Amino acid sequence: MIWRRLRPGETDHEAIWLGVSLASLALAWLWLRSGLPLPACPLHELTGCACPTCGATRCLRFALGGDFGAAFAINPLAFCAFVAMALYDLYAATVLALRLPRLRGEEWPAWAGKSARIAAIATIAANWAWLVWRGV
Amino acid sequence: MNWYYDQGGQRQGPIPEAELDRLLASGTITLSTLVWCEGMADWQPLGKARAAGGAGAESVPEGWIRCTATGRFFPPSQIVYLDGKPYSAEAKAGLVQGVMQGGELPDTGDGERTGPAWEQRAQLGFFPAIWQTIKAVLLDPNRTFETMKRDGGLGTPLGYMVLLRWIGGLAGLVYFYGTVHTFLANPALPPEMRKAFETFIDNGGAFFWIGMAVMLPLFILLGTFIYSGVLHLSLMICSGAKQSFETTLRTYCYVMGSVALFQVIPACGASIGGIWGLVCLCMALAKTHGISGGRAVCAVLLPVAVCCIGIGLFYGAIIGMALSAQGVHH
Repeated sequence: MIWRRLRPGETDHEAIWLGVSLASLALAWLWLRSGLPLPACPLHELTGCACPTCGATRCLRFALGGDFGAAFAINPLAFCAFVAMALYDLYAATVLALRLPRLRGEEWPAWAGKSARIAAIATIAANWAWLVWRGV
Repeated sequence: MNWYYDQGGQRQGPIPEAELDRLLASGTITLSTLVWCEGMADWQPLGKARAAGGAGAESVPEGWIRCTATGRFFPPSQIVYLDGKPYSAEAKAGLVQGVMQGGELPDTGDGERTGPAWEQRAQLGFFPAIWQTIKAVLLDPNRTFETMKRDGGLGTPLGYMVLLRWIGGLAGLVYFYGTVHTFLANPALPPEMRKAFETFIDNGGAFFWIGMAVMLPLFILLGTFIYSGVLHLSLMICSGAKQSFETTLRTYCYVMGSVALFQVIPACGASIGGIWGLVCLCMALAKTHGISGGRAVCAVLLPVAVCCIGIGLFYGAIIGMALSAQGVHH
């Protein structure tokens, strides 16, 4: 990973994802505030079994309410994703406001890419097993 | 100006410029064929000789479009799009000969990516560019995405996506407005959902519908970024992200923007568009990322595959239990 300035014409990921995450959060807040029902999970409706993202909304509700333990317990991966998103937004807002160089990944060696892929799949599978076991 | 060209190590020529174009259009030579004309220091690939400002190079007026067959630039009025690619009227004789001989439209084969037609809307005109892009994406996604620009900014494809999905979404909203009472009368509708919709429609009335119509582009924009992000992550997991996120987003926009017009068809339009959109997306990602079709299919289906596998396992277990129970009874 290196810090560098954006090249001409390069996608400004910080601006895009900060905007997308803040707008999504605002819409989610409006949706929940207005009492509109949340779409039901088809897998859960059909089988009674949680899907890998089941509990993400409840996790966000708990996290926004300050109950981080409950938020983590309901869906650990979703909680980690929300924390990562919050940290990324903080970083993005800082580099955009102060016009700082951006953090960019270099070309990964093949073994690192493969390990990352396996780790990602294993994490999703482990989280899913947890959700099914807990009956979320 | 007379040209010489290399064929099988033998110098051919001299031939005039028009004959060179004819050979190029018929596929006898390509832009990588070595050529020479008076004033050039050395032999060069034809594409380079014409682009580098050498003796054979053209100065290109702004707005002119490059003919796929000849590699030369022409004013938009002399360009026709065939299979989503621009061809000049001058190349007509060569095109006909190429099709007669090879059965396919000739290509310069240099892999230049300038499409789809929406990228040339300033030259083609707004509505012709939309129409040609929709036609090319829906009817021949392979050829269209072979020549799609992989970079060049997000604004152009996002504009296409938001515009067409907004039109489709508005049509969907009109149909929903017409059937909302049937929708609310459905006994299968969860009570909390019925209550929420009734409250909104009773209290908001016209404001609710207009608000929904106005907010649609924002939903579309957010959905596009989120889904493209998930799709790019899926591509990374499947070792298929050979290009940048921008390429994934551009591909997604052109595919999903084009199929959005299916929503104008009542009842089944959205389903038809959704299914054809997924098929086109697989073909398109394979071409724009330069990966196999199987890998593209894996990446597109990965987000939903987890659920499908879950459903499959569930029904598999039920069938297994039923069969074993039958075995016990017998």
